[in-house]
Amino acid sequence: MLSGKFNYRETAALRLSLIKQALFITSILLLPGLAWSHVEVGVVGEGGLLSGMIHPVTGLDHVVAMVAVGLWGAILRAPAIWILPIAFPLIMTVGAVLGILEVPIPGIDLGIAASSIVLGVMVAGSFRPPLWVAFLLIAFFAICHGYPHGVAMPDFGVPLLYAAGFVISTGLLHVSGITLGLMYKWQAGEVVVRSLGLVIAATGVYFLIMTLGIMK
Amino acid sequence: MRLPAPKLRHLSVLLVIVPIVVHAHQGAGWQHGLADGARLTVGSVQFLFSVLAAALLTCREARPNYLYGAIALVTGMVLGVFGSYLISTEMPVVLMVRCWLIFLGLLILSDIRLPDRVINVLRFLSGGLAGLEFGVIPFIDPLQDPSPTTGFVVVSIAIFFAFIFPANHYRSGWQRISIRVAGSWIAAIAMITAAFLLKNI
Repeated sequence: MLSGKFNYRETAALRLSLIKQALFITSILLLPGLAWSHVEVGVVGEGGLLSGMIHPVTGLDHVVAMVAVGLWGAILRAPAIWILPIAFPLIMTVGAVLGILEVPIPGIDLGIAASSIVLGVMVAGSFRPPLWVAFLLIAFFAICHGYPHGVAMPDFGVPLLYAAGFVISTGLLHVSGITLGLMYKWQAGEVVVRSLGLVIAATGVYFLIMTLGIMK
Repeated sequence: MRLPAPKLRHLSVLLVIVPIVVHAHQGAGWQHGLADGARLTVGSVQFLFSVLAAALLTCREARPNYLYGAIALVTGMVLGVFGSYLISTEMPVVLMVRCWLIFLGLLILSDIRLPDRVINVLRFLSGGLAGLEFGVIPFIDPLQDPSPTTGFVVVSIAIFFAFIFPANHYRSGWQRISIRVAGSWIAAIAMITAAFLLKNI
């Protein structure tokens, strides 16, 4: 049985506040013209926003690395927990720009595979280097991950919305990593997080082997 | 001058009505020009981001002054639109706007405290460059037909206040991080558009 009096006024005020927020969010979602009102193919569909959002999640090598960034940020705690997930998409865009401009960069696939290995090891070992070291590592890997997005950016559709899509998708993957990484503060959660790091590192080894062509 | 915080329902009405008005006019005449100017503003990332950046900078002021912010932005826009008569080629202006947006995005991301006068200058320049790019659009001629320019300015003001009120009244840690994220996205999208422009040169 609940103790204390039930405060009807506070409950009603909270409900009204939630309704107002829902109304505000709904009005934002009803904004025409920017995405859903365009009838031509490309804004939402092929070569557009959704296409860009789907691109990062179709490659397991990208997904594990993005999640690993979030996990590592959660281990490093503030301010890295928000600096790394903000910096990664931004620097990834620099890599995408290099891809769009067709600047030749050798060893991108190796860099992508190495990112999973290194970030996985960092998470598994709970390593906490200085922030500038973590930032430099993230920056290097971000360029490796961004470059293929730029190369793959379609000439058809709406490339800008495609780019916005993959930036948003990457950010959401980071958030999922951070959410998982928040378990780190508990003993059992720490084991889970570090195990995830091992899995990510192992996945990176697999991709490295495939990239080097050792296994077919 | 501090303006009172708007009710969420007012913002909801604004966000629904503005796009409807933008798309409502199909015929010829000044309404069509007004709608053209408004549609260009809402549908173009560079104009939206210029106004958004000006709004986010306003939120970073030590003593936010929304009215002066809006005046600086509008003055810059009008001067920019008329200043486009001096421009013969479009590409340098477009690239300059992209570089400016990258700079502003990184500035917002860094969360550096700037003097209010500097922020005022940045808002003015944002408006000026956005106005310059608007003015070099081939069918825009503010002297012959001021209605697109009017639509551009009016919708920009509406968007400025629509962005500024939610961002300014939230000062907690994660909401400041959200403003930083917005800055990083401005810089990122501006970089992408600049890259495509350079690729097509």
